[in-house]
Amino acid sequence: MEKAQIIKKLEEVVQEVMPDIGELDLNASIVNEYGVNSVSIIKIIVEAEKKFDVSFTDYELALSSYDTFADFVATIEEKLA
Amino acid sequence: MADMKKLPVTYPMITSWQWHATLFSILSDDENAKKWIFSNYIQLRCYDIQEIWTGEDILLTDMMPGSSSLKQCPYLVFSLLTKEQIESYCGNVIDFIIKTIDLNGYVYGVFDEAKILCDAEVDYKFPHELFIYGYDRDKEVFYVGDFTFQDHYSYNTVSFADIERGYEVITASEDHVFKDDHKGGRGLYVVIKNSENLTYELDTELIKVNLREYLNSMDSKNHFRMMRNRFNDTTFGIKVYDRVLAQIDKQLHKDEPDFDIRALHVMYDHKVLMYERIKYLMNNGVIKYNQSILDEYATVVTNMLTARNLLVRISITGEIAACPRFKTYLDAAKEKEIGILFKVLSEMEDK
Repeated sequence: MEKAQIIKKLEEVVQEVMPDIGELDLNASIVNEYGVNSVSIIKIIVEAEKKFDVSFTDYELALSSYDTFADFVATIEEKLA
Repeated sequence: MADMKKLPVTYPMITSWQWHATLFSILSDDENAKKWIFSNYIQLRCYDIQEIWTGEDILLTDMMPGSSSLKQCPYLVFSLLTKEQIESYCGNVIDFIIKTIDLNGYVYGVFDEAKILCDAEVDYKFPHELFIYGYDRDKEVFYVGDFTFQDHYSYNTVSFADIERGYEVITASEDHVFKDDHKGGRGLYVVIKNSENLTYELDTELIKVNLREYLNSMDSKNHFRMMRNRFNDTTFGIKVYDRVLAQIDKQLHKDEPDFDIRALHVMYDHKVLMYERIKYLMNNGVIKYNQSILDEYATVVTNMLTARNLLVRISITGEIAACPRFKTYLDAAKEKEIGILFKVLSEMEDK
């Protein structure tokens, strides 16, 4: 899957989980800019697993694993590779 | 009175329960208060109670000190005011809170948050402790902290009108914070930060006692019998892992699974604090600096966090079959923690 497609699909996932979030800046802090917390990141991960047909490990559920949505995109790229 | 005043708060190092979030909001970044904080919050305990508003059985898990910390912390000045006093001194709760904040007093007490959180009129109450640390008279809002506005602890604003309504409708029998102290009354707490002078040193003797009692699951409540002697059947220390695991297993295998993860939040916060405590003891020469101990304890924190996160995931997906993995992370955290803390205690006892 092309990176642009991953980004588009991830944006859809994030919008579903956090409808008030607005436009995404992939390099902005997900905590400080978007208020993502330890529960919402797990919701995003669960939806991303379905959308991309990938699996996240239990350790990858931690909010601290992702400073930005770009980090999240990179994780999905690795899993799809 | 000023038009606006916000007392200083720092996002708390731990949240767990509102009494911890409140204390740590006020004292988290205070160097004197850290000596008290790191001397305490070592023992863990849990016991069965009935949830205040649902009546369901829950396993209350907490560190020690628990809710009494706001009263007992030597770096806070604590006052308790009854509803009658508030009305007599100020006429109404809004003026009381504003004047209290003007005098550098944080306010804490039970409000009906159904009135605060819901736009529409609702026919139920949701009594919950609210932490108030500021006001803005132009916007007619108070600055507050609680878990109930978002799905984690956060700071928000609430209108004067909602605060007044949320305060007035709570009866004495619904004020679960106040009634323990005042035997059936209604009122608010005022808490003032008092940490300019060093009044409590880091207590290595207390740390050793607490570590011993934690590792051996000893009954710590007997230290406090001079103040209270009504107790539930309580589990202390390391055995809390087993009791929490049994409770979670029971919850998940109900006909309608119950995903109450508050015990896991407390246990995770306990490990976060323990890691910071070990680092603090090393940085202050109480024990030798040892990066491998810190790294090992970091895996305890990680496994505890992973257990908690997995339970959140199970609550979203309903995949009860993942439960055995949950036990694996808890067991890993427990075994590693016991080993490390015995080393730390041994080094402290050798001094």
